[in-house]
Amino acid sequence: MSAALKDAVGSRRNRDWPKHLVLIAILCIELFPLYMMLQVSLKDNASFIQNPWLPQPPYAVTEVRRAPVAGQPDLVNIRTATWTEVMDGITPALVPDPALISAEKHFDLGVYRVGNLVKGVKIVGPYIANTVFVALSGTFLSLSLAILGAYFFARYKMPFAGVLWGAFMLLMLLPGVANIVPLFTLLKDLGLLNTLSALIIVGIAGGQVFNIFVLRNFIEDLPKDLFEAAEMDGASHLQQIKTVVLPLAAPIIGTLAILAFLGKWNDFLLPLIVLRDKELFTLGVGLIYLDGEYVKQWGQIMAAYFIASIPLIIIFLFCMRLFVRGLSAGAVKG
Amino acid sequence: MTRAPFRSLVPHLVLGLVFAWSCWHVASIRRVAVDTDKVTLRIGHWMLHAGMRESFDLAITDYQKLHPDVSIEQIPVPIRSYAMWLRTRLVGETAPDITGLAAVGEEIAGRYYLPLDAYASQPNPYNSGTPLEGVPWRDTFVDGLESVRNLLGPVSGELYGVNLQINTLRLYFNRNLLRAVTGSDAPPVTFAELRALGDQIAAYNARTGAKLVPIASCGPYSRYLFNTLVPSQTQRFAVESSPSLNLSVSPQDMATAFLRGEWSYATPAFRSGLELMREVTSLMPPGFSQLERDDALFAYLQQQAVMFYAGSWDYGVLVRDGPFQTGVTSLPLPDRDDPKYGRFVLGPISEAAGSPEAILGITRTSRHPEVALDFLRFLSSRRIATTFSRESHRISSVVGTPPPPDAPGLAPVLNGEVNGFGIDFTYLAGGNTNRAFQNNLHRALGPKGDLDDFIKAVETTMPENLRRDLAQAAFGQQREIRRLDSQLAFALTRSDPKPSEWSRLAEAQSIRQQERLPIVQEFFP
Amino acid sequence: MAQPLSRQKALREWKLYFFILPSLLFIGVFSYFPAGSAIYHSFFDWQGGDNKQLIGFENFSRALHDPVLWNSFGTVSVLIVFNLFKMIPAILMAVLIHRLKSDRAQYGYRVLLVVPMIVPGLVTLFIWKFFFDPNLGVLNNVLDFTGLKTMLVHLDKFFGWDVFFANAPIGWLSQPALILPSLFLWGFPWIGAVGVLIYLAGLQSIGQEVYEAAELDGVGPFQKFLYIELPLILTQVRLSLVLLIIGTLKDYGLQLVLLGDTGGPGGRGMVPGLWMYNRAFIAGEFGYACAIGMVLFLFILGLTYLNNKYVRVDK
Repeated sequence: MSAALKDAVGSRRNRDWPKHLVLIAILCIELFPLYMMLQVSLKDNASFIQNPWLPQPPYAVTEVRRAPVAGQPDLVNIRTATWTEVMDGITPALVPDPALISAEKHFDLGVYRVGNLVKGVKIVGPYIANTVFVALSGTFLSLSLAILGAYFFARYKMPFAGVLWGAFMLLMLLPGVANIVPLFTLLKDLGLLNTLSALIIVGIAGGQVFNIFVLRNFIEDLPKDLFEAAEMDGASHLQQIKTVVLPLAAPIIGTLAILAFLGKWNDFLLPLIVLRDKELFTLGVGLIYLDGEYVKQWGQIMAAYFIASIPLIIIFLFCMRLFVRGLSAGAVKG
Repeated sequence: MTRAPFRSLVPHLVLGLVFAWSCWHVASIRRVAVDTDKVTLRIGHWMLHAGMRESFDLAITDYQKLHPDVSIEQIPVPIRSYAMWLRTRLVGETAPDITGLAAVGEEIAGRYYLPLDAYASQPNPYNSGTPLEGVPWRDTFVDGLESVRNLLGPVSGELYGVNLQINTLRLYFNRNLLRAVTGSDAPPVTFAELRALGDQIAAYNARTGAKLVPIASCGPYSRYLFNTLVPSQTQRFAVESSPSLNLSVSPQDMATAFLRGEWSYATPAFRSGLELMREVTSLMPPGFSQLERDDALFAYLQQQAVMFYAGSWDYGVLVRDGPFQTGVTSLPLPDRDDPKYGRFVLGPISEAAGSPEAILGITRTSRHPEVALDFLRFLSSRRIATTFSRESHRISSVVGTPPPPDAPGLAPVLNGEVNGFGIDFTYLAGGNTNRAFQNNLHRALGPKGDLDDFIKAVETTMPENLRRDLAQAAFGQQREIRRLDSQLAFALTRSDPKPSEWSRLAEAQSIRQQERLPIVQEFFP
Repeated sequence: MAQPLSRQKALREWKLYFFILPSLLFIGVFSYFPAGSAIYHSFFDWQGGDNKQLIGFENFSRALHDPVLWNSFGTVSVLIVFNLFKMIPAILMAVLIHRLKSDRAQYGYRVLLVVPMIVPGLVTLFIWKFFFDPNLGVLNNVLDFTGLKTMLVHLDKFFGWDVFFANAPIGWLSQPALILPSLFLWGFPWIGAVGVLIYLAGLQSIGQEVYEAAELDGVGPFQKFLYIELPLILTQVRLSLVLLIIGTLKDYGLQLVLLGDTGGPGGRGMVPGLWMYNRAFIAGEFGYACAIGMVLFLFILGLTYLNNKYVRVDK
């Protein structure tokens, strides 16, 4: 939209700043989880309980206590300081601890538990690798097969095409709600339990119908002359797809690819049931298993969540233009 | 001009690199799995608590040193997902060689796990050099593996697993706070003293403006508390009125008696149990039944509560995360001299029947059952049990293992009377009656509690609930009978059927039928 | 439309059938076969292994009398209403961005919107679970800090809800009565980047003249929204609506992670899909789970039929 049009669209008062205010407020709320993840991941449980909201100040307190058994050396405990202690100094606790001898505060960069992030990478790294593998191969295979299939329906009205199309469309209406139960047994009989291939294959099967539906509509709208010209030049069907369909359908394929990728990336129901070995876990299952411990080590968990969020952010920052353009194109098509 | 194509190349390049890295990673997993000609053993369990994983790691390292051709892998599964995980792995036949047995009944145990009876009478070779040398494996356990047998093989009498540890329930108290309130850190011993302590804490709160809660509690742990308190009131009743004349009352016995109208919550022992529950809840925080274990733990660790009734499995966390000293004592129960509750009590209870913890069994689909058995023997040897006890602060089930060094109070008290039974129908199949009990409990408890209101609310729907539950029990028993049919058929059609094998199954089937038929005839004609 | 072709041409193009074969195989084996198997097994007492016992319609009669199942349908209806309500912020957000004057600001907000949305769904779920935590969670701390908690306690005494207590933390996910409100609050401020971007794209197709005419007529900003913008994104809204309703009916991943496999305390968060999952993978009653799936499927089929008949989607 041009600037001139913007002047016309704006309210009579012609001011943008209330909108900016609202948008920024909402964005702050949206970005808050990311902030929490980052600042908690650098703490351990004790300092998190002391100070949940603000980042940890780089100060620690050394406490010396008398040993419970006489004759033993004094117990030294180093804990993190709170912001109030940094500003105002250390105050005595409400319930006095008779064993406490002294408490001193000092500057200490060691309060930032970077080890949490390192551990997080070690734990989540493999999960990310597995998920990338499953999501990318699944998306690629799914879309390739969908393009082929859509081409079949869109190019010519082959005999029995109507029946086959009906087979696909019926699946659009049938919600595969109860599928997961016999699917589990089917995978077991095929020997596919506890493999990543099962995830890829089922992912492909699941997305085919929608992808073929959208792509068929798109390919049908392409002008026939392009195809005929290519055919005149002696191109086989595959070459026709390559030269005609792919370039023109790039935005829509991009959108479908992104939707498929996101779907596979976030899936956890099937991997939860199918995968047994820790090495094969995808991100979804891995994160659920992280949630398990009784007394949660929040620092480590938040570090793992933070690292789990990063790959997608990076991928999308790189493919941002493609993403936004693709979605808009797809949306206009309805 | 050349900038544009480069710009669009970068994301594709990045994607390509990332994909290549992931392919390499997946391929390397495959390589590791296929390469090894070692025997790989997998052990899946839910024990992620402080010290348990580390203890397993130590044991595994030790074992792998002894047997270099074996490699063992731990698969820890969070307890929230454990039931689903176990069920899907067993059905899908991808279960690890050894798994923990939790929320598993005889049907699953019998179908998917190897019976260990034959090995239980052989001595454990890893006990050589200890006082347990030459002792049959079964007898190296504190309760002779009876608890596991009762849990997993009550009908067939088969042994499907061994328990490495046992649990007890204990009242933990904050020494500093107790001293601040009463001047000494000696815990209460009888229920009357506990009540008095509650009053002292209230006085302290009024005096200093603090908001201390006597006992930190939550939904699940409050049930433990009630089910330890209430049986003290049904002790005498169980001995005097047991329908099967075996000093105890089974859930089915209780259900049929209630349905027939012979017993009800107006029966003195039961009503007294409810009264006791109501009185003890005045010592707990408001809304406790809605809290979770983490909340109760948090309240205690933050020094908002003076005491905490929890399991011996929690001790490790209290020691690790609590900045104060925690003392351990048994829950103070009403004694015979108690004016209000004493007349239903027989005496202090024995914890010999204990509750088994860390039960491990060998799955039938294991490729190396002998190695798995050997590792189980290793885990339950005296030496390794001592390591577990030290590292995880839990009580081992192996005879003679010293309790965790800093908490002797966690060990079970073996001398005492037979215990009573709970009155909330926890163990009745179907769970409807129990659910009605729990859902209406808030009427009886707390300062506004009215027992009659509660009893009326529960008893309106009780007949229907009991019927549904008994129907479910009968259905389950019928399924068991059918299963035993096929087992019997298999045993009898072999060329040389041994009476020792099939007579036990036949007896089990008869017991089940005897349990089932009266229910069906009386309530579902 | 696909080109019609003569018999001979069709015979020459027989290789084209190979294009559709793989997809057909995939959906045949992994979509149709499980669906058929589900229907078949719903008539059996099946524990997932090799033995099953034909029991006819017993699973279905049990399902019809199953209070948990019907309560779960009630819960899921409430959730559908919640989700309908949650569509609104995305539309408003799209309109706000659309009306900004600067193009760069628009693009900037688009990017900033997408970034938090790209956090994997599961991580968002867990972060929200953390927000709901009674002791350490954001929600309770905010309520305490702003004094809203005391207000809630007073309201509680007045209405007799029995969920908010003065000196105990609010157990958002551990009190049966608070489960549905928690599911409503979840995801605040309820903006989905995909939705906003799609609505934005739709809004962009509004021509200049319309706005100029409106400006001349002296139409205020809110009326502009009602009469210009809303009707034009109505198609997208309708499509999202249908997908939303069917999706909410089927979905149980959210409840599984947030509340656990029994639907949380008192089973208040139980939805039909979760009950099916519970029966199959926790209780091992695979046959009964298939029957539940069939009931749910019939429900959705009915809704889809009604939708196709009465709600016309304009192209």
